[in-house]
Amino acid sequence: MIGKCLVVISIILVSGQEMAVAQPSRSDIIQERRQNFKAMGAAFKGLNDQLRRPAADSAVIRQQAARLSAASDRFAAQNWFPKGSGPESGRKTEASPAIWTKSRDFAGMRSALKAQTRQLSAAAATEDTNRIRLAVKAVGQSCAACHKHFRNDD
Amino acid sequence: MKSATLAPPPGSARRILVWDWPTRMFHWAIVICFTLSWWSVENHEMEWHYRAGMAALALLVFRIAWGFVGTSTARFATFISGPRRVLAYARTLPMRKPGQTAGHNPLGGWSVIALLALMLGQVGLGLFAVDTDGLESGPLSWLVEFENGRRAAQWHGLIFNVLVALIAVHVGAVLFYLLFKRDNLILPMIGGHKRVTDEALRPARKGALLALVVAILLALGTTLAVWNGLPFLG
Repeated sequence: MIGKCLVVISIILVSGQEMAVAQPSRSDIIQERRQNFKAMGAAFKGLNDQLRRPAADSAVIRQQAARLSAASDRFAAQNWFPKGSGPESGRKTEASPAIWTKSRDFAGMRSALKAQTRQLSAAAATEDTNRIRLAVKAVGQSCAACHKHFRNDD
Repeated sequence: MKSATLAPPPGSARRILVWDWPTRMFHWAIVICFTLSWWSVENHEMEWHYRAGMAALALLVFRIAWGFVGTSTARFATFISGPRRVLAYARTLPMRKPGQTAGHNPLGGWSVIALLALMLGQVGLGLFAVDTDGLESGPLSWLVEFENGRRAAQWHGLIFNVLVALIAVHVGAVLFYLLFKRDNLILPMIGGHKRVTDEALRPARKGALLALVVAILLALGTTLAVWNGLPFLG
């Protein structure tokens, strides 16, 4: 009984400590990751814009692909989702609880995105519009698949 | 003697054309487009959302053109009234009898204008809208910056709510006429004809076939150009 109580108390203490560690930078971290997602959205739109034009500007495509790849690298490398930085922080965020309950899957999807945006950059260098189109589509599917599991809708 | 028997006796009911088939087709087709747009976006079926939006654009362009060159009851000049007539008509609303109009009444005419303007605005915003990920976007979104595309999407969401409210008012008014004023406005919008007793009411004068063809071509041409993203602007 006492043992059980001790376990419970230590869990509370440990999680409390974790919260305390995440606390000081939490609001900045939400801002930081949001900026990164916005940059990804703008870069993705930049790619789609070129593919919509009758003649795509390959320089712009390379530039936007590089921007998307850099943002995906940061997303994979940074610990942008510390515990306590979900909606429970009181801030406006669409972070789903699955980010923390399935953190390994979340990390896997981030790495997959990183790899796919590298492939997109490689496709952009070939200036082969069909290859670029396919690579853009693959990245988009990657985004959507991850959002389905790890982002709250509305 | 014979001519006397042909003329309808005064005060008797007769059936007259109120809504021609292009106007009725527009009405029910836009209902389908609105429903499809709503369903598709709720279920992330964006390809269907774009199709519904493009169909709505074609229908709206057609309806606006038909409002200038079409059948008498569909023309803006016929059903747009000044404030005095609107007020005078509004005073007759509490009377429990069918309103003696063949076509839009002075109040309903403005409701139609509001619905058309909002739907056009809604489709127009959708053309430039971009989702938060830059994944999904309207056919003209390439002409605007990401941030402005996001603004268009936010307004697209807001106008939708206003549109739902206005449609609720529209359906509510139709039910009010049906249940309180004993005036069935639904059947004429399906079959085109209405039973009237007022001898002064004339059936709708049908628009010319050439006008119909021109309005349809204008609608299809505009929609095709927009669907292709107006590439000549690039």
